[in-house]
Amino acid sequence: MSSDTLPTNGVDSAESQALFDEIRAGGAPRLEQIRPIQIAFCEALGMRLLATGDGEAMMATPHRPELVGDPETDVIHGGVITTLLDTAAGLAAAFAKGAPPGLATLDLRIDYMRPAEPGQVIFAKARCFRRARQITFMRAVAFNETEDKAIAVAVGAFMHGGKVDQGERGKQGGDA
Amino acid sequence: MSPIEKLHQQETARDAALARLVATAPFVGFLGVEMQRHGDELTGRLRFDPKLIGSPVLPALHGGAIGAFLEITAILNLAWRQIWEALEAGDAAAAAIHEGRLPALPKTVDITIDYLRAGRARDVFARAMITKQGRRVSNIRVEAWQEERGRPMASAHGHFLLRGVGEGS
Repeated sequence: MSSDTLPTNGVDSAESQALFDEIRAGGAPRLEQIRPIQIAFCEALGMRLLATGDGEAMMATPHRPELVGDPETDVIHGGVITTLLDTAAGLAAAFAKGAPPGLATLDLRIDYMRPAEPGQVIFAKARCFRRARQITFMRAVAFNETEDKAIAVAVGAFMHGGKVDQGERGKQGGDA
Repeated sequence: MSPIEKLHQQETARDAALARLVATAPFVGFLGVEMQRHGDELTGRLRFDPKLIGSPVLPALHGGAIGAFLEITAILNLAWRQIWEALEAGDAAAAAIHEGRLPALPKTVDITIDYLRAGRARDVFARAMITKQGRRVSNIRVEAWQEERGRPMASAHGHFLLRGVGEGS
């Protein structure tokens, strides 16, 4: 699969699953072949966008020593998971068909289910739960292998279009 | 040892324990989080760096970076409270701390982050308030601001599982 042609037919499509399997097998080196996102903080963490859909996004982040939370277990810090879920949910909301430009996170709740597997790529899938006129409700899951063994689950409310307060906390939906 | 030397030694031990605590997780240093101590109170500081940017439009800080900073501030505040109480009690836990063995860091159960204002290309400050300190679980609130303390840019609250000295994850 070309690293520049990402699946755009949803996070549960066969193409998305195939790319997931490739990265799961190939690890960080395979992930690095994917085109980087033009979001500075995501780039600093090595995070990548893997697939999109209507109100959906799949992302992944590699294991790196400087991102570890507990040196004794070598488990990635929760803050990286927060960033992964926040970005996936925000991009997914921006990729919703007919979504106006400009997006701001209102809130994000993250429940931690189990520790991430040390050394493994962490994936996230975000889906739109409910799209209202001005607010979009998103859900996202972070996992190593399967969603039912989630590392963390998140729910968030995002506001579309216009200014939230003295300027938007815009996410670059189209540039990813 | 004179009383002044004793007080100085106490402050040095506190500073050393705090520095060790902040240096525990590599990600904390990667993000650029510092903790400033005033007595037993901590203020977190996220030093601005271009790598923290989420959107180049304003430019605005990434919400994940802010969320991570709030979570770290909460955890370090809780761990610091444990360390402080142990040092004050002067018990076996205090001896361990003096030898560089800190209690295992609290674990996040859940955290909710409210994004109030866009984070600008400046340092971010944060303070945590322990709403309820249980035996095993703590409920904690954190607020973050940049230029004006009275106009916070984000707040968070969450539950954290406490762990003692020598306990595994």
